[in-house]
Parts: sequence; structure tokens; C-alpha cells
Amino acid sequence: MSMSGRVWRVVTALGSLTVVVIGWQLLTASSESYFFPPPSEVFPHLWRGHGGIAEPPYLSPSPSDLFLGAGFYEDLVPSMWRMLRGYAMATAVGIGTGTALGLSRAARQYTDWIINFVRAIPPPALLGIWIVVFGLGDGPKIYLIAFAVVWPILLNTIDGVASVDEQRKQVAAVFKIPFRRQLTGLYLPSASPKIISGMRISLGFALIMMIISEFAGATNGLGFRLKEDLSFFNFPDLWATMILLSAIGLLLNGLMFWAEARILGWHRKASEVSNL
Amino acid sequence: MNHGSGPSASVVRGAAGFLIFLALAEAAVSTGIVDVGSIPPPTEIAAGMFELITSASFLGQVWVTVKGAAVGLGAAIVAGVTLGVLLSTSGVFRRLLLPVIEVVRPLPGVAYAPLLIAVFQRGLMSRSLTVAIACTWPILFNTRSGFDAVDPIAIQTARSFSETRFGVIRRVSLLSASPFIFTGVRISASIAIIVEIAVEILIPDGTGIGGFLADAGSGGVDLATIYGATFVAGLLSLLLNFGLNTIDNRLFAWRQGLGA
Repeated sequence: MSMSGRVWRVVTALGSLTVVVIGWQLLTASSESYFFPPPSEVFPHLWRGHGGIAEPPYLSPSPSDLFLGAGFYEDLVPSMWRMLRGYAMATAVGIGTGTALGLSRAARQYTDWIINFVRAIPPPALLGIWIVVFGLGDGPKIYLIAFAVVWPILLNTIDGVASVDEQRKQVAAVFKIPFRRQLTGLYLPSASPKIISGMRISLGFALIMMIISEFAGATNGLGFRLKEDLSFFNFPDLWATMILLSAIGLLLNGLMFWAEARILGWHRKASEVSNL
Repeated sequence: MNHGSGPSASVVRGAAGFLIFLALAEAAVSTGIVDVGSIPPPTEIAAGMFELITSASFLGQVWVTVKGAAVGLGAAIVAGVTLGVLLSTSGVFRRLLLPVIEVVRPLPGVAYAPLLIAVFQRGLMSRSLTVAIACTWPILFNTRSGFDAVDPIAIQTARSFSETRFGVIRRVSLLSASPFIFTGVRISASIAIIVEIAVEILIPDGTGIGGFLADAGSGGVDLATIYGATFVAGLLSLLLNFGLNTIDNRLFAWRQGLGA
């Protein structure tokens, strides 16, 4: 695309976003409904405390706080930390189990029904039991996130490992490459595009599950705050948290695309070389 | 491919694996080898499931969940396909709407639930609207990839038979994108059930499978029943998947003929 075309695209994009925000402001400022506070009232709730029923703000105007407010430490960090642990658990289990199943056709067939049955359980339906079983701490939330997001990683790993090029497998066998090295040098690298795309799907899903896991039996976190703001009819804070969640979603998306491009850029080059 | 162990062998092994899994779980829990007081043996869970499935009041709650998810999914299909077609066929729409969509889309659908519950109260409207928001995106993006994959020669051919622009969209693009759109619907169907149950749990009023589970969790209903209800929810989404898969294979068998 030409330079001027790109500039024009950015200008129209920013223009339409500005129109949306101005429209949002005009519509909500003239309306009496307190479900829809104007953005001029919502955005300050991100960085300024309002006392009373208001939640602690996520940001702070003061540089001595590193611009981070109490809400950052009390809700954002616990939420993200649980999400990260759940996601890490799902990644480890998904890649580990997926590799084992990908290597053996019989194992895949024997576990096919089990996986399909367990995978069909809608994760939020487990929240109730797991609060009873694991208590009210971080445990049930982390397990719920891990349970929900493991499937794309597991299935993609199985698929990726099972579809490694037959010729390459035979070469590895002919040269009697030790199994450990076949795993790290052949199976996992060949499967990596599939694994990474599973991890990308799961990351977006982890954010959703993080929110859902805090809908019941939570005492902090972003999902908990959404629920609290609803019960206290605190709509400026509710909107502020929604804006924060959009920003987190956007950031996670960007991060994963960046990581995918970097890692798979290597993969594309490596497979081009070997295809010569 | 090894034709000796065709689909029948994989079905046999799948069923065998599943039964072995259940038997092991039964043995482990009922003999106390694995001491998890919190997991009832599979036979008890199955008994709990059977009791629930034959109870009219529980089936009523299942119907609440199905209705909420179905209405939301229906609205998402209308919204997703309409937006997808507009974005694919109109440059003006694309330029103006895409930046807004890119900013709005990262917000998970369930995060709209508290606001929608405040505005519309608890009930079908707030639940199915949340479902609709969450389900619109996969349908929208699959509609777009479907339109991107339309054979340009087909479009040119239709044009040279002096089809109008709308006629081309309706009779060529939409038809050839329909398998993609259906894939979006299938993805969204599982999301619909997940979001529906999540919203039922957010502010439980005893309705829907989620409401039933939330009540059961706090009200001392025995664990076998709670697990039973959870697995009924699983069964529901398994049935839905199976149904949509069957429709997909019937309706879009012609796709195979095109070598797509």
C-alpha cells in the first residue's frame, strides 16, 4: 500500500473513532439515564478516587505512585495473575498430553470419546461445584480457566504432532536419532504453528473465563468488580472497568500476534530452507 | 492411511476407552483408593442425571437455558451476517466501521452482562442480548472470510449476465460463502451455551441450568445431583454439536465436490 493510502486509512480510522466518542458524549450527556454516564464522567473514574461506594481507581495521576492506583493492585493484578496461572497450566497440560496423544494413533482413538465428552461441559457449569470442592480461594478460578482454555491447545497439539511429515520421521528413524531429540528437533518444531495458533485462541478465551470465574465466590478481581458495580448501581465504575477490559483484550491480541509472527517467521524460514 | 482399522475400529476403541475410564473412576472412588470425598462415583452421578432428566421442573430450567442461548444465537446470525456482508461489499462501511469494531471486539461478551441486566433486568432479554453480542463476532468474521474466498470468475460471470450488485451478493457471494457462515454458527453455538450459563450464574434467580447450579451449590443439594446437572449441560452441548455437524454434512456436501 502506498504511503498516502496508509495515512488516509489511519485518518479515517481515527476520524470515525472520534465521531463515535463525540456521539457517545452528546447522546449520554443529554439523556437522564444513569445506566449510560457520558464518557467525560466515565474516564476520570479510571484514575481518580470518588469516595463512598466508588471503587478504587486503576490508575493514579501521581508520578510517585508510578501512575498506578489501588485498583491496579487490588483487582487488576489478582485477576491477571490468576489468568496467567490458569493459562500456563493449560499450556503445560495441553502440549504435554497433546504430544503424547499425537505420537500414538491407538492412544488417540482410545481417548477420543473421553476428550469429546469432557470438552462438551460448558465451563461455567463447573464453577458451582468447584467452589464447593476447592473453596473460595484462587484454586477454583485457576482450575476453571485452565479447564476451559486447554482444549484448543490440546487439540491443535495432537493435530500438529500427528501430522508430522512421514519422510522426516523416516529420516529420523534411519539415522537412529534418540527419541528425546526427535521430540525437540522434529515433532515439536513441526507442530509449533498449530500449537501457537491454539495458544492464541486460548489466550482470548482465558480473558473471558477470568471474568466468568469471578462472577461467583470471588472477593476481588475485574469480574468481581463488574458484579459489585451492578449491585451498587455504580455505573461510571462499571463502564470504566469495561473500558479497561477492552484495552486488556486489545493488548493481549497484539501481544499474541507479535509473538506468533516472530516465532513463525523463524518456522517459515526454516521450512523454506529444508524444502530447497 | 491404514484402511484396515477404519472408522468402525476407531468407534470401538473410543467406546472402549470411555468405558474403561468410567470403570476406573468408579473403582477408584468407591474403593477409596483415591480419597476425594468431593467426587461421587460415576454410577451415582448417572443416577443423579437420570433423576434430573425425568424431573419436569429441571427440564423447565434446561428449556430456559436452551431458549436464551437459541434466541441470542439467532440474533447473532442476523447481526453477524448483515455486518459481515456490509463490511465485505462496501468500502465505505469497511473504512468507517472496522476501526470501531476493532476497538469494541476485544471486550468479552460476558462483560456486557451487568450493564444489560441493569437496563433490562434479569430475564430472557438481558441473557440473550449478552449471548448475541458474544456470538456475533465469529459469524461476522467467518462471513467475511467466506466473501473473501468467493471465486472472482463466478462474480464476473454473474455480472456479465447483467445481475445487479444486490443480485450478485445474494445469488453468488452469499451462496458460496454459506459453508463459511455455517462454520461461524457452529463455533458460536458452543459460545452461546457458555455465555448463557455464565450470565445465569452472575445474578442467580434459580432459573436456567446456571441458576439451578448456583442454588444447588449454596443450598446443600447432594454432590451427585450437582455433578449430574453439570453433565446434563455437557450432554446438551454434545447434542447441539452433533446436530449442527449433521446439518453441516447434509447441507454442504457439495463443498467436497468443489474440492474445497
